Amino acid sequence: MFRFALSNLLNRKARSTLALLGLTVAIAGMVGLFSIVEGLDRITEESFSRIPGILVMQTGAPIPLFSRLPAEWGEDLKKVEGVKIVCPEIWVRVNVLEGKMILNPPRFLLGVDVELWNALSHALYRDDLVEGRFLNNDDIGTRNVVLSESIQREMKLKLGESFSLNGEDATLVGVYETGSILIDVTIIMDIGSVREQARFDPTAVSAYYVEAVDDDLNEEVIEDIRDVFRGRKGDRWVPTSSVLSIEENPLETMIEGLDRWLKSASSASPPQLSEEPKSSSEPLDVSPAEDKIVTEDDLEIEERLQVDESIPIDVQTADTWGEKFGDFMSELDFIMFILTSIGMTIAALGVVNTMLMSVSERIIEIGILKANGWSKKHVLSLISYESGILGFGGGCLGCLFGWIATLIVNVSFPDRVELYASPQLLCFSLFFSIVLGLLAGLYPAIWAMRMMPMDAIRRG
Amino acid sequence: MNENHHDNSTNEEQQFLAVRDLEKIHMRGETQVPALRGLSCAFEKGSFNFVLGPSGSGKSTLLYLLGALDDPSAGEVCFQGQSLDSLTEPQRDHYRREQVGFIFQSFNLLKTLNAVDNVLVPFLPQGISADLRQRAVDLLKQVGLEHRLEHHPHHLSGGEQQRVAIARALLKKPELVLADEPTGELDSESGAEVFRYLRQLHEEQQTTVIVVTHDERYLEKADRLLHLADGRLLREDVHNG
Repeated sequence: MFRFALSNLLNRKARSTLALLGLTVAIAGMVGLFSIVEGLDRITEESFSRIPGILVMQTGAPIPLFSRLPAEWGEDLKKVEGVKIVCPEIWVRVNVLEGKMILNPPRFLLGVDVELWNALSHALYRDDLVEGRFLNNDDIGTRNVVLSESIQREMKLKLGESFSLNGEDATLVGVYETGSILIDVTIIMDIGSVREQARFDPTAVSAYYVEAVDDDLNEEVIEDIRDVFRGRKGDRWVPTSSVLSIEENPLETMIEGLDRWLKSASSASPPQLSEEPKSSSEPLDVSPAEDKIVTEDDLEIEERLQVDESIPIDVQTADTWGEKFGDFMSELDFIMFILTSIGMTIAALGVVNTMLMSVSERIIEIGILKANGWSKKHVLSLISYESGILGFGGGCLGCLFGWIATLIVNVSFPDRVELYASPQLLCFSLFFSIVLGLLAGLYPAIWAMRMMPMDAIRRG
Repeated sequence: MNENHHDNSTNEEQQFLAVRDLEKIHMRGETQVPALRGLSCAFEKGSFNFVLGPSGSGKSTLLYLLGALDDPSAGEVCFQGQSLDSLTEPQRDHYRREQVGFIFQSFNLLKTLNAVDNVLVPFLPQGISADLRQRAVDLLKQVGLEHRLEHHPHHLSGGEQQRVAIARALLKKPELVLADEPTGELDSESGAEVFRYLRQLHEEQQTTVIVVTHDERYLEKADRLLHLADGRLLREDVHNG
């Protein structure tokens, strides 16, 4: 039966090729689209897994570049139990490299406390050095830098060579390579030099990288840090005003904060922090005007949210940042699903058309088969075999071309994108293509199956 | 009258293939075109029969109804005492696959298959055993196609294609062979050759053969003849040679 179905397809080369092409393009498109998501997933996982410590940033800031924290908070962080090292970081965007405007891929200048960075047990960049050396105490106050291999390749720099960085000279002393396009965009320099060059507020830093005494203690240390900073005054990051926020008048900020607190306290809202917590045995004081029944659990959750809101810092491990990024991925997944569905619908219609044409061209043959004792089920099987073979063939070719395309894109734009078609994605695409082929061939198969042998022969 | 009817029924049950009051109306749009108008006849086991008549007399329609390729509008066909109407779908498939061999005017071979596979078509869904394949090869050799086993239909002459069709019909060792104008697209020599094989296999396997034709050159002595006109049986007789 399989051989017969295959020979039927091979005998109608043009029609089969067109159906195969339709499926191939759709499946290749599916592989391509989902490889974007998988690539991002992989980059995220690889990138964040390389950072074992804790990141402390301004609440609401999406990345350290937009975060601003007071410089003196570093001392408070050091005092938290379980904290081994606190490294202040300053992040600045690189706008001009060797006189060329930098837009995409972006480049960032990271200012680190060299001494502290070298004291870390696991230090990003330092542990990924492939050429030269990492910054040491001799580089403090200098404009010596370590940058990634991809930036070095792009700028054609050699160790010891000077180049223009945001309009000022810098000297290359080391090259690192992490393999992640999210990380390999950073140029590392002494924090003092970056502060001076970028005219960065001397009382602020971008973020803190905290290394705990033991990585297993990260969660406990995070909770302790939150406790230390709970209730402390600090601004939440808001777009476009991020830089200004640190330069605001503290008195003005305090008055505004007081005003917000008074307004929120006077409204019919759940109990505030200032109120004494009620014991579980006391009846809950719920306004009669409210229809909603407020449970004790609700109050506890809202109270916790209120408390979290009062913490001016986001303290999370890199893994948690990765999870946040994952949420964004699921949104992207949905968009990819819609785009793929459109492609699949077109491909399915192509297969239906091919199989219908194929069946209508072979009415006599189907009549002959039935005249020779083929049952409805046998005819259905034959047509399904044919559409299944088309689905399998289209799936294989689609997966192959889609996979090759991701490799070509990765090689062509190594610093910009990283597509990844996992074996699971390829297997699913192949399976999906076979199912699609079978479903698309079902209607023509049923149509052929129901035909009376005599009708078929007479029509032919 | 009732007694007569009972006698007729008993006779029909004893007959190998019986047709009673058969009617078939084809629809051409909303127009009814009667092909058979109450035809009754019977065929003995092991007989060689010719259905003769002009175009449009209902010869082919009768043949397809005998083979359960179509449903009658009225009346019935009884095979070995059982009405084909009473058969379930799988039983009808089995009847066509195992008990009836068809030979069509236009050969009706599958162009994607070679000669051997075309002979094996009825059994493809069940899977082909080595024995069955060997039998197909033997049958093709028997009809003189030993050098054409792997050839596809478009590489075979009309006569050769019809011999493949004969082999296909006989592979199942059918009790009944139905041939619709088997020499209609063949020259005289090929036509005679096809009939030579048909008669040879009829003699060897005692198969009942019913041939629809309007070409009387291939009639032989003792062949049973049914003359049709306008969907009715005009007369039946035996060829005198």
